[in-house]
Amino acid sequence: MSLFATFNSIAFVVIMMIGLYTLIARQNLVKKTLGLGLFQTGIFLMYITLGVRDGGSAPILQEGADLAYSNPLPHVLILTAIVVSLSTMAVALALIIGVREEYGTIEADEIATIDRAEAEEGHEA
Amino acid sequence: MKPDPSMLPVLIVLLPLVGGVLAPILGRGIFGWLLALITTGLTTFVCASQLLLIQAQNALTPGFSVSYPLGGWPAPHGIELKIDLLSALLATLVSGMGFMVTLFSRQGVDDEIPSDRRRFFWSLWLLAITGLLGILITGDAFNVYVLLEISSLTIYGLIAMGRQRTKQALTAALNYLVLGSVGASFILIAIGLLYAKTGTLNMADIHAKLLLAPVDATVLTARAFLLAGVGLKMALFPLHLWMPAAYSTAPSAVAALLAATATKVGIYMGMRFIFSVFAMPGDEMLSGGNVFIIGSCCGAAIFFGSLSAARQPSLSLLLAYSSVAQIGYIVVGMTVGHIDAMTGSILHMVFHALMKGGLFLCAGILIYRLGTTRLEDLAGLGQRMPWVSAAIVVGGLGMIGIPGTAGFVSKFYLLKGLILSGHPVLAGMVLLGSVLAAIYVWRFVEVAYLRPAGDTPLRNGLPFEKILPVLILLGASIVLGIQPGVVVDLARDAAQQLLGVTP
Repeated sequence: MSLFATFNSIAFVVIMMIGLYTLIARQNLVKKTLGLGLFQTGIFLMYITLGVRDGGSAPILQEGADLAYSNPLPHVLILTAIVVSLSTMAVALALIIGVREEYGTIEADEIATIDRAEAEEGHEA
Repeated sequence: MKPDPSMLPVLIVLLPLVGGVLAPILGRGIFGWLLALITTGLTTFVCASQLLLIQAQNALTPGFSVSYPLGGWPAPHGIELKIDLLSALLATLVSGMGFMVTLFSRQGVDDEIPSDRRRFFWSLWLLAITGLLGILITGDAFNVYVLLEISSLTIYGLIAMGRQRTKQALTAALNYLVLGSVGASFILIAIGLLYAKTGTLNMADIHAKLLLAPVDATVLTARAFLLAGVGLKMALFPLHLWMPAAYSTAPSAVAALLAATATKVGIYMGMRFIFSVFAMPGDEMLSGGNVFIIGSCCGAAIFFGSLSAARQPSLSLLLAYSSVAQIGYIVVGMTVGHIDAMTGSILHMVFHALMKGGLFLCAGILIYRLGTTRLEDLAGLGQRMPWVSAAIVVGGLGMIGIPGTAGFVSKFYLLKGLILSGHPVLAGMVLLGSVLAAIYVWRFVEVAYLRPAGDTPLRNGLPFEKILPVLILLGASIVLGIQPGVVVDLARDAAQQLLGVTP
């Protein structure tokens, strides 16, 4: 395993964990969403590292040259996953705008307090 | 396993996909509903024809499955659609439930969704069904992830459309989005690790390559990530926290569709990966510690799900927590890897979809006519809406598993399999679960029949399109409770195919 792959393997775990921690520990919904984005970015890095080969060049077929190529498939897969992640962020941010309109706040603990107060008043099913 | 020349398999995803794309353009007024109805109806027809074909072929050559190479690129390099008996059975179930709930939902959607959003509602609705059906019929691991995200993203949007009725729909959808995305990301990690190990994404090919390689840390890590991710998607206790809020705040049509199909597809993913990808002879996958861990989760799901259901303030929440418990039953059956337990598991997926779908449709009728499902407001429902409350009681009896309902048949096979495979404690949990289910069903009976009628005004009439699906679904649960033969045979053949047992 090359130095690049070793470094990346550590880096993607660290990035994923920072993202997951942000997702769990922050009350601000936008920060939670950013944590989710960071978590998914860590996974992208994992896939990209998978495709790398020691001394491999970009996977463009060259006439006559006997080159080692990096595996392009994980990169293609991760393009799809990046699109999915982008859409997830878009949906999440749209929902947060809705939450802000209805509740007037985007702090998860304040929203929970409002919900609880309304449940006690009992006018929501 | 020669490839089927017919184009039918690809239509299963293509029809709802095209419908979903056309809905925002053509779906004004009543046309969105008509489009959804026609599309889901045609899809059901295709799925059922595939089911019959595969069943007939399976009787001749056990282990038969239909394979369709997308774009003409053969597997393992191209993406393959692979339909075996389990896929076909569940695809028929999902599209059939989609049709029923669509039929039910015209007035409900008019009631709950603002008119300028309705065509987008039907678009999301069809795309969600596309994703769910796609997961069931694809043979490619990465495809599973993409289709899972298609169905999830559309479902988050559908849940959030409940904000007209209660603003909590928004927070429920956001909560589900965060947890669901983490679950899907875990599945993505698992697929990445499997690819690193085997260099292929075709599920059958991954399985073949895993059989040749020794089980090492990569495979075990992949399996752990996969189980965690799938557990989140199927809402297995203790990963169920997103579910009750999502089911109780979503528009009534969406709640019924989700309860009947979405979690079942999550369970299918678990079955498919455990038995068709990871399973190998002599592996300790489904014995000892793993059965203990998953079995404990299921036992806790049955126990706490049923107890929580009995304490909920509204019928929607009660039904949602009941689903937590019922998922425990389904997963416990697949955990022990015994043919009878697996049959029971598959049967319970089908029957639970019928019964819980029917019950959520009843809750939809209550929302349509009363505007609420709070148990306080349902006092005396037995006099005010005798047929609807009778239907809820019939569904509830199925949840308990009274003989004569479909719930009894599936629980019978589950118990038989659990006892024969030597898991009396898990069998005890299933029995205890039935007693606990009686408590939450009794809560509804007590409110509806033993209290004086409340004075919440009734609005709207009860149109025929709303009665018919409830009658069909709950009627089917009774008929199949008395004459379960056909479905039991299908489920047993599917279980044999999945476990690789020859009859």
